[in-house]
Amino acid sequence: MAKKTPRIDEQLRRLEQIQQQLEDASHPIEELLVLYEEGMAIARRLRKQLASIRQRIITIGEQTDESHDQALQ
Amino acid sequence: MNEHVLTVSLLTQAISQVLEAEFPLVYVLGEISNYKHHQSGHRYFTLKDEGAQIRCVLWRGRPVHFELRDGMQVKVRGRLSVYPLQGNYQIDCWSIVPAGVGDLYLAFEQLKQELAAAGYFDPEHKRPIPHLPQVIGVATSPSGAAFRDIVTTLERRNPAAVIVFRPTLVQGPEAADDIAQAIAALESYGCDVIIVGRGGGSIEDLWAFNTRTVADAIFRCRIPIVSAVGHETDVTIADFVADVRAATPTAAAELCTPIRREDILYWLDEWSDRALVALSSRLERAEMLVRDFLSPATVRLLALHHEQMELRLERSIERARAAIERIVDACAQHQQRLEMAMSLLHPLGPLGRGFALIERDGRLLRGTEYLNPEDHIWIHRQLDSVSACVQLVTDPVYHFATHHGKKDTQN
Repeated sequence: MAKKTPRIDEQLRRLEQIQQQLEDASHPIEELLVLYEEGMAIARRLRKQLASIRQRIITIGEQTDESHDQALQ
Repeated sequence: MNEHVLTVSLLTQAISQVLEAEFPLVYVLGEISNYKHHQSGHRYFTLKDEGAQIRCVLWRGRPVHFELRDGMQVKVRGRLSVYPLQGNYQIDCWSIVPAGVGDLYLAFEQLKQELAAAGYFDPEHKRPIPHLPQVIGVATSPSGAAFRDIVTTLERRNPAAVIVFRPTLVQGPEAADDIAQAIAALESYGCDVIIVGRGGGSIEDLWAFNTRTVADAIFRCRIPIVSAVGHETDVTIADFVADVRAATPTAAAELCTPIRREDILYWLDEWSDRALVALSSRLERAEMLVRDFLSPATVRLLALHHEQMELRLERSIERARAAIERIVDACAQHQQRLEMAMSLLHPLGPLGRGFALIERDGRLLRGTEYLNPEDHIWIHRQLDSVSACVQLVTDPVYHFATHHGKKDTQN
């Protein structure tokens, strides 16, 4: 299975975290720049994901729970 | 004339084969009469209508989810069985559902009361729909409008959410079990939320959603379930037990996408702005501090200050050094004088200078202390220490005057 991309809600939560740290006056500046970069990268990736994403329908049958995609934990 | 004569058994056997082969599975509608719930647990009754009647048996263990009574309209599912010894035939029923609308409503009320008492509808058991469902399970018929409505609504609002579709029977005698199995399958798949529903229909059509089987499946499910059964005005038991009730399948899909794609995109834009503002203001503040601190005037001032400080420091060091030297000199001189004084004051010093010291009774005598004849003394010279006994004590001037003169003349 390909590397698991983090779920959208997890990425959004990370962005919230970063935002809080950016607004925290006691945080050292060098770290802020790194965090900002990380946040912008996540935001960029999410925008691309959401723009290009197509709806995915997985059908599971009554006999088995096997399907084309692996079950999510 | 040829007569083919059969025995009773043979004839019955033939009848049995024909009936059982022809009616391996029947659905029969009729009114219950002569209902008897035997001690053994088996139920016997007759199904009848205006023109005929037929015996039925529901063996113990077969599911019955409502009270059976004479006069009720019911629909049974079973097979035809012939009983040779009794010379009759019966419907061997596998399942039974109420058929008359009045009876359906009655059964509905009965189950509703029973489940309410058992706490199936209590608000504490309701689970909230997660903040941003990513995996949405759907249990409904593939051919109905419900599925189409759900899919288009989800796609419009949040195509990022994955739909897990489990095609389900929503009508008919097998529906209740299938719905329960669908819920279980979607739960074990790992959905964040499950939509269970179907389009509109009569109370008979919706009956599966009024069964104990489906109520139990919904109640036990550990994932939030949104029910969307029938039209807005229809309310089924499933709706009461579900965690959230939606008036329509479209509404159910909307409830499962509280945050739409465009909401996320908007939030991301806001985030970028806020992050930039936060970062810029921090950088600006830092920049200001640096700027003020390092203005040309400040730099010159600092340099000047620095020079002056250096100069002052050098001079201090010089003065300190000079002071230390003077102190060291003074100490050296003082030490010399002390040494001299020490040597002068040393009790045995005189010996080095050629004098002798007199000791009596463990004490050195001063020149002003008297000696007496027969005193035992020690005489300490640089050369030696002499033990002596005083013979004569006289005045030194007299001694030198008399003895020295004599000595000279003798030699």
